[in-house]
Amino acid sequence: MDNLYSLTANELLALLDKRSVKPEDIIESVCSRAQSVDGKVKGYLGIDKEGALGHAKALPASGKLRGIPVAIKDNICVEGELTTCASKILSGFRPPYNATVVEKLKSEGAVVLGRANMDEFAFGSSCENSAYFPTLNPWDTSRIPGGSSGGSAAVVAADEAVMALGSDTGGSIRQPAALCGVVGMKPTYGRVSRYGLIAFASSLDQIGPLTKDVCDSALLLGAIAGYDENDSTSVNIPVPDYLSCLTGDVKGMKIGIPKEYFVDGMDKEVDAAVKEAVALLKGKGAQVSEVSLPHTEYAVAVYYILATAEASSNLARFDGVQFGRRCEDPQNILDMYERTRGEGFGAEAKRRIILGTYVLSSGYYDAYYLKAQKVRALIKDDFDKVFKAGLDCILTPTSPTPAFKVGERSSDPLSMYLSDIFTISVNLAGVPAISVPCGFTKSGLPIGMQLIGDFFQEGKILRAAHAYECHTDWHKRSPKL
Amino acid sequence: MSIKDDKVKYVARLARLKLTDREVSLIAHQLDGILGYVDKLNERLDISKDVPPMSHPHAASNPFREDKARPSAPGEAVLSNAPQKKGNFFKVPRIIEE
Amino acid sequence: MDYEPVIGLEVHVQVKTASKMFCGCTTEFGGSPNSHTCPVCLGFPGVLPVLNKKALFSAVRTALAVGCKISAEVKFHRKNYFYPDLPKGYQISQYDEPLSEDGKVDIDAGGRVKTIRVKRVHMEEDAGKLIHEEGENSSLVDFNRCGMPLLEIVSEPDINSPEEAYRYLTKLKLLLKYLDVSDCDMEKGSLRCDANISIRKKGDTGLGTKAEVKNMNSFKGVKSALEYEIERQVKCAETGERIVMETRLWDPDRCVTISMRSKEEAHDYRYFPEPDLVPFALDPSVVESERKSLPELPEAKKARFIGSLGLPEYDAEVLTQEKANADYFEACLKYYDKPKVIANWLMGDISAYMNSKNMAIEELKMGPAALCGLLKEIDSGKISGKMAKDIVLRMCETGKDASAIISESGLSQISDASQLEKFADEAIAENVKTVEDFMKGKDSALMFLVGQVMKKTKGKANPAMVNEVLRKRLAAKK
Repeated sequence: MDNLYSLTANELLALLDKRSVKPEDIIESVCSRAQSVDGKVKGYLGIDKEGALGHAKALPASGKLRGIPVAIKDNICVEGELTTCASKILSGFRPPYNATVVEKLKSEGAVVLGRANMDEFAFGSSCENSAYFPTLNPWDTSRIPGGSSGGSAAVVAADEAVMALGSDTGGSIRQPAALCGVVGMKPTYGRVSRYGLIAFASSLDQIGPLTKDVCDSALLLGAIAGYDENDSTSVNIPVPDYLSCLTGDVKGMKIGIPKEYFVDGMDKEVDAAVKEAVALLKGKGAQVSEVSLPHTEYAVAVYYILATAEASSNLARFDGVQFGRRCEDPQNILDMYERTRGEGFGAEAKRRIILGTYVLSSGYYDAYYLKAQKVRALIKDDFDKVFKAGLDCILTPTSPTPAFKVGERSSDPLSMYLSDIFTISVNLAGVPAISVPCGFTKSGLPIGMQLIGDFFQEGKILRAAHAYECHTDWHKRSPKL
Repeated sequence: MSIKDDKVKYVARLARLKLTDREVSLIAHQLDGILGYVDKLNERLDISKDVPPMSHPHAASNPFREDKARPSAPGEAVLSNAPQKKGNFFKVPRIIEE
Repeated sequence: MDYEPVIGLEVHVQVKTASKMFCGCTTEFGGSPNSHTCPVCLGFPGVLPVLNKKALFSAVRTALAVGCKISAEVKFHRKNYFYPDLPKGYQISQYDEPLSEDGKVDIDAGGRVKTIRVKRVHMEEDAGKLIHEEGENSSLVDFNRCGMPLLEIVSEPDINSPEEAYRYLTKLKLLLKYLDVSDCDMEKGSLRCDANISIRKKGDTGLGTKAEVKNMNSFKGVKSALEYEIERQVKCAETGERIVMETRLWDPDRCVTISMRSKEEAHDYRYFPEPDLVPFALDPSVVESERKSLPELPEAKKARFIGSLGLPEYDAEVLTQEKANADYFEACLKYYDKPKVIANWLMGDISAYMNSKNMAIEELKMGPAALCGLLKEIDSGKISGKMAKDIVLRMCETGKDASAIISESGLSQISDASQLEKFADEAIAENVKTVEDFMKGKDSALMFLVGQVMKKTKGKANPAMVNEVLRKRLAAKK
């Protein structure tokens, strides 16, 4: 079989079960695919084919992902391997530990294939902020793949990886998934351990799967979810069998359409595709109603205060003392700090550190940080209210526009920040959400819709997303590379 | 609130970030845009009722660790990423006592 | 003009735990540099803190012992600043909602009880240690201490003299040792103290400009530093020099405080809630059961020693100054029912022995049961009090029982009259002149004869019985 790379994990596992292929065949196939297309996509910071083949020879006897190669976003620690957050300040950094999710993947027999590119420290929505090179959209390489998990989304879309892990702080899994035509899920805050995820904003970050379809999303989520005693913010409740949630029908599911998410300025093709998806689900028996999440308009402002504040503190450890890069020939300690950080961080990282430090600094805390925390509570209340009223999920567009051109928004940070307008509230509230392909623009760019669930109700949004997928074939299309 | 260059410089010092003058004025300009957007919304939303600030999506759950010592990391693992070391110490430029 | 100092103390105490505050590294003192570290206490990227339960509950117990109100939710904040001994660029500490507030410590201030209010008791993690290399343009960092659990105990500015400060610290240390929360060893750094100090004209109620004095590394050092600093500030006031708000370092060699120059930027620590730790709910019932399980504290113990055991106040005070001593004393009461006798021995010969060996009562080889065995031997007349003084030293040295030492060295008193008669007769025969004196009515001559018998028996005779036997034999001679 020479097109193994194009199959989903569930399809490959079936072949592995029948022993018609070996794990090494899959790795060979995916690697040769990457070799032929990654020059255009630039989704990987590094692929370790030899290491992967080595691992494939020493797999555990069983496991949910036995023999499946997975790409890992470059902010998730892999023991002894480079982990740099696509930043110069961490060049050469090899963590002496695995992230909990990596441990889990390995114990389920998955094979770590390579490091996916990203916006530096996950700061961005276009993958242009990587200190190394921008990743490009496999559907149109003059366009961005979204971000920050742009590398993860692009390599899955381009069949350079069977599945990938990303991280999502304000939409960083879902937005690139939508823009690259793949499935991306941000689990409930606390569902997946953050231990070993290099933090951007600790109260918002969550690791999640980027996959070719919803079944794979359920599979990968099931493998990485669960309480971790090394992460005080992970929640100790049982992990359901997500695959068994995929019944294929939405009959009777209550789906809410928030009016605040269908606003002026939204791309008309996106608007139309999402509305068509709503109609389809309605046709299949879903009960659709309009709902209101009144504090939605404040989400971006709240997010950029809270997330940058946390980031400014989380990034203080990159100071050239214990690990990472240090500037040349420092004159004294202050000089070492200022130049190490001034030279090591890119423009967006600097901007966010300054903004985050500013909103926490003396005299501004109450006006910005404290107020943002209060509005965050109101945003969460909005979700609590509609779910308490009996909704199963909320359906929205994932991104207001399809993939934009490289460089189009890089000089205007605010316009870049506003591209996360539909995904940010979910992180602020802590609820889970999934983005699934729901159409293409006339020019052939993917469009994604977002299904948001109540706390720990990943099963419900997977079910609705899967049912939609059963009746559409958007997810089966592949970019021509 | 409009953010001025000297405020950016003060904050950059707090954050130990060396910025060029060009970076300072660019960031000041960009932050003006972002904070202007934030301020505009702030003005519209009056939180008159007492809303408790939210720092975590979940309420308290008491994830404690029992007080048991575990082996520390081997010295090699701890120091292998150090930019500069001496023996088993991390080495830094001399601290000028303030 | 008379000035009065106003002093508030910030005491940092290392909590006695097996592992660090947020990771499993050992808290053992020493160890080669960075050998007690891991990615968590070194602040490596991606790692997360998990709170040590014992550290939290030690803090709760301490707060309860000084009468603080305990917060229903324990919240941590990040205190952000850069320093090479602080690997994350922030310290996990507590800020506007500390673990506990509003407590007090009573001290003896010149014979009257004075209350020093405790503003708050909160938890935070310790930083690493910097070693400045002589002659080198660099410093070295050892993170073994980094992440150790600390308690910060902050007093209100209720202290008005160096002596009161000293007493406050002594009292606090006593409490912490009773609670078994900390070793409070200033030399090992398990107790550290900073002082905020200002002066004002006597009678004024406002507060003057304060200086913060750091680097005081012994209780006596605190006293000396405060004395110096008060004098300095008074001199400033008298000469019209402005007192500035600043941090000053105590130099114990030169006995002066030195300004750290206010070059440091205004502190802007950008505190915000630690997002890696969800707040910990402290159920009132949990707090209540902690309160009930607190050990008897020194004041209560002292009162009980006076009230129900009948000890003099002085004895009760001395015995409760170290919890281990009080424990030893109380263990003795199980075997022997004369508290004052036990107290005398502990405060006398045994205390002298421990002082000479520079040892603590925990290291004493003689246990409470053994000591009481000795006391019973005295009561039974088998040995004299004087003999007991020697025996007790040997017990302390060897750990053997009194009875073992008595029998192996034949130390027991000769209380057998027939045995003594032989020695009495000898003494009478050898001291004709003295016997004559006695016969003439010089009663004191008898004492000389008693002494002679004691000498012959190498001190083993029961003196009262010797006296009796001698009188009998002399009477027979008349």
